[in-house]
Amino acid sequence: MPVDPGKAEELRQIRRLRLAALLEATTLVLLVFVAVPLKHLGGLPQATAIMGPVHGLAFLFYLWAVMQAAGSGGWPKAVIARMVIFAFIPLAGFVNERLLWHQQQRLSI
Amino acid sequence: MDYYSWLKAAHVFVVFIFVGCMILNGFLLLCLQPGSPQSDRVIAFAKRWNGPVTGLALGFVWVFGLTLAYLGNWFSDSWLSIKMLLVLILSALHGMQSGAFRRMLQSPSQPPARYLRSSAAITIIFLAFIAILVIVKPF
Repeated sequence: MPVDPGKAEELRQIRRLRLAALLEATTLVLLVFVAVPLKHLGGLPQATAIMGPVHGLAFLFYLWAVMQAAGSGGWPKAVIARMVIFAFIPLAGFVNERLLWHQQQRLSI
Repeated sequence: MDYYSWLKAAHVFVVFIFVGCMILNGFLLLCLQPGSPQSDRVIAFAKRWNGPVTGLALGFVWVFGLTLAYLGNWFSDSWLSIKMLLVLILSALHGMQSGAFRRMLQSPSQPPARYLRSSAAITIIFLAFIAILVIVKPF
């Protein structure tokens, strides 16, 4: 059965967003709950020196992917705002990933 | 070997590619009328070009830039914080440009948003401020 190119493109975009959300959320958790305590309680400033830039790059990739979704249209402004705001809250990024997974499942049917 | 200078040269090189592509994207978003075969061919090519070339250049802009800031101990300087904010906005703008090409192919009747049609001018203005911040370091 031929696949609708528009739908296939949309699925690719959601998969990319999910990957970016997962990377962003995981690196934020590692930064806040592992690297920061290691720096302040364990006397290991290298932990944040490494995890800081890693999370920064993951955040950039995520922001870029969200903005691409915003530019391509079809995404309500409230959803875009939620995806950006949740990226700043530790663990909330995983909620973004799950919501995107549900969206992907709906689109795959 | 002076690694800092080599890294700076690599950073400037990828910045040229990224900014050049962003200005071209803005020009295409302003001029192209989606719906005709010629325009759609150019839009499809621009969309393909944006991922591996402009997107990759953007990634290296950040990697090289952050490494330079770390090696040069620039993170405490205010000019760098403002510059990083401007580059962050440019990065987001590039994401929107990239999405707009996709939209133009899928819904040719919907023109790109006004700010995206002005994105070449926005990029040039931001670049002027970035050049001042980096060279003059006023803060």
